[in-house]
Amino acid sequence: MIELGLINSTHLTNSSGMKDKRLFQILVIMLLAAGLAAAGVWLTSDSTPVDAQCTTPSSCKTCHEVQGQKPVNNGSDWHQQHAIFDFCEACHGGDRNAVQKSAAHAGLRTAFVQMAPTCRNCHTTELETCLSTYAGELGVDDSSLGDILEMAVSAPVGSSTILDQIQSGTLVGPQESSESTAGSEPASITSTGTFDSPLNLVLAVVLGCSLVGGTVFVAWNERRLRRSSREAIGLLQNVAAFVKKENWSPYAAGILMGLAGILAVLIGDHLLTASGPVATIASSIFNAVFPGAAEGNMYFRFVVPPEFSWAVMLFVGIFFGGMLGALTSRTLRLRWSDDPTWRKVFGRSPWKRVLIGFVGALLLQYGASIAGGCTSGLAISGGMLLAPSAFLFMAGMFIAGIITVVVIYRRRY
Amino acid sequence: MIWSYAIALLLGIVFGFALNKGGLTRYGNIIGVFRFTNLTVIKFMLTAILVGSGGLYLLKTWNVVDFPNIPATYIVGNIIGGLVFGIGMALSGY
Repeated sequence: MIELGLINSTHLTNSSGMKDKRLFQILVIMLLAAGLAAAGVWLTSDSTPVDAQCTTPSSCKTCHEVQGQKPVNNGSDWHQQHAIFDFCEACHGGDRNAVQKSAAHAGLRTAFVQMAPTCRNCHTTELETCLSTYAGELGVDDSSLGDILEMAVSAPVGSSTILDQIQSGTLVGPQESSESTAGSEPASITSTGTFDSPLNLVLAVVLGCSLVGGTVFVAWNERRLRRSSREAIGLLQNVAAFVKKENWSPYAAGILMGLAGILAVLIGDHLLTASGPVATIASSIFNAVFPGAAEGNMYFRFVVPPEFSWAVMLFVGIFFGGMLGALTSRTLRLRWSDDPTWRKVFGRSPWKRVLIGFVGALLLQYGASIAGGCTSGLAISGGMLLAPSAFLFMAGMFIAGIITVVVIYRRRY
Repeated sequence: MIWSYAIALLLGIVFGFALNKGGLTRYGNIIGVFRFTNLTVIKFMLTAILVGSGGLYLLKTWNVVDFPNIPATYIVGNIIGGLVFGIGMALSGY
């Protein structure tokens, strides 16, 4: 596709300059790809596991997946189907935040009988089938399978998610309850009922108010802009003038963003993110509209559980923050496709903007879900913690972005 | 609980404000970085990372903060996700 662009460059007046630019660009892509390959080789090479965690605890996956020590995903269907995020701890116990191997492996559960009860957290209806399937593979005989089944069925089912349980440290039990099967107090799994909590009402009200309020405000603002001619801007105070400036230096805005990122970790104990809450809101809607389908869905129940999370509130803030920024620079307007760069390539049709924007946003959100974050959540926030994943993601993002733009713009590039 | 949400809202506003003023909400700026004609996005991102990592690692050295779980590294996942994300980003101009 890049070659195609090169052939077409004869149309241009300044073809030698363009050729240089293309060459530069291909070089950059190759450099990024080489960097990626080097990072891959370095990460998969057998370095000492403790050092590779950069003294920051990450997860079981640092050793068992990234560094390939006893890789569980090779040759076992079960782990391939279930190994999402940091779920190892849910069945195997241990301490995924520990840096030392001995501490991380403390209290590790490896026997099937100890882990079976956790299966019920997700497989509510088809527990028996699931357990029998894997019992056969693991060589558990039929008589003890009966005991395991009985115990697993009698274990309580919490409606809280596994992630919640891990975070609150309440996911214990299978270890103890396996000692004495019947009669003992079952595992203490809290049931907070994330989706039934009143916070979801708050979420609905906040989102509803945002929608209605935003629409009313946009309508009011449009009328205001049409009616009044612009008054003189600035000359009040330096600060006011700076705030009102439409285009800040990216360095100034970057510093503000960096400070926000520090504050988020310092007082919020979270990372700034923008794509995570979108998935959470989508999951909330899916769970509310199709509760039946969501019931058996791993992704919508456990990976992205419906809840009014910290990040959703952050997302509401981002919306109004962006609006505030535009308001102070007096550029807040309802627009469709008035960006000059866009018009040059795609024309003036607003529907084209909406359609391509929608398709692009779908891809973007899908990619973010695969990678574990977006430009904000992974590249910037992860980059602040110097996480390798952030830089891998950025390299992938720029490679695909450059190639896509070359394809879209072709000789206009 | 309510304070935690108030902080989230406030930080979100600062975050959105910074994105808007930095020009990250404009299509031309996003596309420009892939065309090497406008490097606003790179300048913004790397400044934020510089300030953020400098500040956070200093605070960590002084034992003021504990890091939350850092984003997990899945080489293939991160890269493929990044590639798909890049296509979407170039199309939508997000």
